[in-house]
Amino acid sequence: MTSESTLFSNRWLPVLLVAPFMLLIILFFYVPIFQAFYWSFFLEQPFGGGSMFVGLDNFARVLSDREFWQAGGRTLVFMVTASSLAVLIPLILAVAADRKIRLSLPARNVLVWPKGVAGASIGVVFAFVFNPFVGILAPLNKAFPGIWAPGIDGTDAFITLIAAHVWSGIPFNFVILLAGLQSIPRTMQQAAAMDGAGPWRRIFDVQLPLIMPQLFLTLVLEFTESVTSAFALIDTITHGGPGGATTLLVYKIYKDGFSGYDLSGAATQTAILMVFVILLTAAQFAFLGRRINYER
Amino acid sequence: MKISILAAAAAVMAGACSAQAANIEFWYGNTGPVETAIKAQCDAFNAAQTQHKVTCVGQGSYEVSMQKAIAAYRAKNHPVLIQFFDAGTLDLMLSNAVVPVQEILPDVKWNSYIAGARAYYETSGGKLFAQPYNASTLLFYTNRTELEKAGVTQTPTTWEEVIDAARKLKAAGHACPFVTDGDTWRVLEQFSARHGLPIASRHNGYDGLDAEYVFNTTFVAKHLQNLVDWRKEGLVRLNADTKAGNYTAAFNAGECAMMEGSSGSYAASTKAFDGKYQITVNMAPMYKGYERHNTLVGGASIYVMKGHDQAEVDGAKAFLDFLRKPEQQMAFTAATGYVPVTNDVLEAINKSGDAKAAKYATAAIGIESMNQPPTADSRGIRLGFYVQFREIFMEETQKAYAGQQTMQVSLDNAKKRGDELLRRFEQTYKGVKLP
Amino acid sequence: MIENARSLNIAASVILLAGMLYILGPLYLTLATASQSYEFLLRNGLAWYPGDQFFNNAARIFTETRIPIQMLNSLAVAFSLAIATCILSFLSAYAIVYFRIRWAGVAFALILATIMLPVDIRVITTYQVASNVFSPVNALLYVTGLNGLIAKAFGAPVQLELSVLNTHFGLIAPLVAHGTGTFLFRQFFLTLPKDLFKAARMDGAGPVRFMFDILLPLSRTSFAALFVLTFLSGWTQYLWPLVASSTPDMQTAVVGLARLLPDSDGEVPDFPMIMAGAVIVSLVPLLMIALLQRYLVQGLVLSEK
Repeated sequence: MTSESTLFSNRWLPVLLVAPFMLLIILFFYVPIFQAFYWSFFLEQPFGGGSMFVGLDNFARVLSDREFWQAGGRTLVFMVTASSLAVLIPLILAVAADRKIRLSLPARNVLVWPKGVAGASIGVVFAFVFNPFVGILAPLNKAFPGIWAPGIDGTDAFITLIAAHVWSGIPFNFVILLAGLQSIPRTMQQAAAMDGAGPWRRIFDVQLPLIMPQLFLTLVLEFTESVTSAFALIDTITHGGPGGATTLLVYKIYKDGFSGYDLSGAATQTAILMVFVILLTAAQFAFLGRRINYER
Repeated sequence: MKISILAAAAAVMAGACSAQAANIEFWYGNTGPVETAIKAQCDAFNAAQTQHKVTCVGQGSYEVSMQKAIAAYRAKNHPVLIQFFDAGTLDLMLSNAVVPVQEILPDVKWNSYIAGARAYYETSGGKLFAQPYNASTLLFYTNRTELEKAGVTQTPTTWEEVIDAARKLKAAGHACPFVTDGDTWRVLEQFSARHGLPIASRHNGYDGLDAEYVFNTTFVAKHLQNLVDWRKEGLVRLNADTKAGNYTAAFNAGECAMMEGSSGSYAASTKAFDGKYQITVNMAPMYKGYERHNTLVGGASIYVMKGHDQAEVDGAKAFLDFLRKPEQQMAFTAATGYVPVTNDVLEAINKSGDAKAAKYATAAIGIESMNQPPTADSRGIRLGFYVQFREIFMEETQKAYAGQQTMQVSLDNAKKRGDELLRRFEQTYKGVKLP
Repeated sequence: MIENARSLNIAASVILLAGMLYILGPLYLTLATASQSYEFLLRNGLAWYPGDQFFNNAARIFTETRIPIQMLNSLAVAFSLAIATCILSFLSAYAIVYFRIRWAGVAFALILATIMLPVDIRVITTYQVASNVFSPVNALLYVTGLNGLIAKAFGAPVQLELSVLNTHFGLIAPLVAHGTGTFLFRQFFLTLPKDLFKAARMDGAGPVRFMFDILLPLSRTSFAALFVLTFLSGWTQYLWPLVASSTPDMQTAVVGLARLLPDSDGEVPDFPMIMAGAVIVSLVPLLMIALLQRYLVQGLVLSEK
């Protein structure tokens, strides 16, 4: 990336520049995380009356809990499907919006709107849209009764969740990907055209490879987002049901810790989840990050 | 002596105020119209006297309120009064963070509290831990207009009659004779209590932390299996089967004709029925051959937290006394539909001449339902990690309704998972005695 | 784009239309429900077509709830969050990318790790830290035995207390501790040509001059984009503002909105009023997006222009 001769050699200035941010992060991120890890080694009474050191017992119990693995499995499925859709759909939209057609400008405005809408209303509206009796799939249900029942069928509930997640994820990823496309110099496209590449070829051979940095950014952020931020949607639309079908790990942790006052159990699951996310991000950086060419 | 920035500042400020007056904080969890009523009571308290001032802070939900109380208690800046709901009773009792109200207010006539409300929040020795505040219980609502259309003239009182009426409704083309959400409180707890059945051993945990769940072996298992069968027959509908998506909304819209619901639903139902349907409200149905016992009290109660000075405790006591006054309870009942908790309030309502008004309709029935003869198993729930258990029960029974497994398997699973929770709870509080 | 690609353009238009419908659909439903009455809701459920009650419901938001005041709080929180994030992210990314320091990788990893666990998961322990920001110091003194020494020397151990709960600082601090901004700026800096740096050095520019005269102007649009995105994120935060504020006057609009949903059994929420509230609460961020969307796209272009 940047070689030795292109760096400043001050010793203390960088420390000064990073210090305030680091302090904030240590105090409000790492200390709470450490505290949570600490709790995972104890059986913690909620009100702090007494705590019993149990070593790795909590971890043993959680890792042998069928419910934990089921929640983990669902999270994995959600992560893969929802993340890929939340990157793929904005990608298609961005490629379309990059073209100079009449709809580009209004589309660019409208497609960012979900970012401003607060969580509580998103959930309610999506629950309504996918309602089997009065939603958009109601006619389907009238023809084949019972085919769409998110209140009873776990898969249908899952689909509703994915649809809502993609909806709220479109703005951010769309904007980033579009920015990437817009930054491709015109000359590159013209050169490719002169070489005889048709418009479809240009999309796949010129545009997509050149927005690898942005795609990487969105993928990394999306994967971690989908693991952790689906919470608000679950809480407003499905509440983890039906029959636990949409209880993702992050929701299970919240319910155990917040509603169940099971501080130790929640802390243990958080610790495990965090290790998983760290490994996942590290893997992404290791495999994909190296292949990204930043300079044009 | 501790060097404490805050303590120093507080000392300076405290010196400037009179010794008796106390500013106390009360954390509650309700939202909506109940919150409005609570705030009105706080304002009334402040207006009625000048010695103490209460600041009532709404936390948005019972769970958030409790979490904040936990964190605040650990950081030593917790309020003196906190409202918390039924399922969290054991956590608070074992926390060593609260003072039993009977201890700080020994002279109050605690016996005037309705038996059903008392029993939930008192120790097995009979000492009241928390003051019942917003109480509800399970009642049975029917849409009389719809029932009569199908030829049912008498409001059903037993489950057999309910199903009979449901069959008549179905025959008349009604899509939703009876609706329920399958909620643990309604179909397990209230059912078991009024039929005199235990949910767990050791009298639902009152006698010790080594209790075990037994509901999968009692008659309630048969009742739940009945619900599955009746749903297949089209007599019973769940939330997800209704157009409205929610059992009370479906009942209020006239979509469903009968429901078991909290006494708190009454206000919204009558408002929705106005001019269109006639509503009836009675005690929850029983199976033939079972003696009726009391239903459990739902809602929440108020706890006094430790770690406050005498002035604040005095303020807390004054506020609790204020809330207990019959006029205050009447106003609260009228505004929210919650049931009054002391017996003298019923007399006050009758004397007021407004006894037949809609706003007091659930008071008499609710009190009657909670005053039925108790058993050792109908006092309440004293089980650890109970909130999580309620979720587990819902999760497992939902699978049964969806046809993924039989109801008995669901109940056995729920028992197994619930027992794991109980054992871990017992381990967390090893050596702590149940009060 | 370069030649006349009809089929491609038609396909693109269709795709954009579908995308816009997908986005606008739920928004329209929110508006439609907000314009009906509560009775309508009880009878028919949520609404597919608009009614005439919108201004009634909106007026009730202003008269019956504290949402207007809370919107001011949201504004303060979102605004300060955005500014703080922009400044701190810029400075830390600058330090990591443009200085020959051995700990650059470690620092970046530490900062990046914050993306993985949003506040929602670590709420309980973050609340504890917020209610006494000196607690780690206390714990450290205790663990290392220093407190014991101090107690012997001065007669009492050091126990500092400073609560930032129910303050604006406490509301935004844990939200600022988030590395997306740094990640963004770092990616951006890495796409700048090395010649830029070399030229500045040859002109004799020191690190401060370089930052102010060259890097800052170039990063203007990145700043704008980050500002808008962080502002929106700050505006829509729910769980942390709920927990960190103990009085209604410190709460943000989103929290106030959610509190309109009654939690008691058997109450059908007043959805029309709540949806009207959602519309009002969303007006500020939507306005911001509409006005600044140009910067949004430009600012995330990860290369110099």
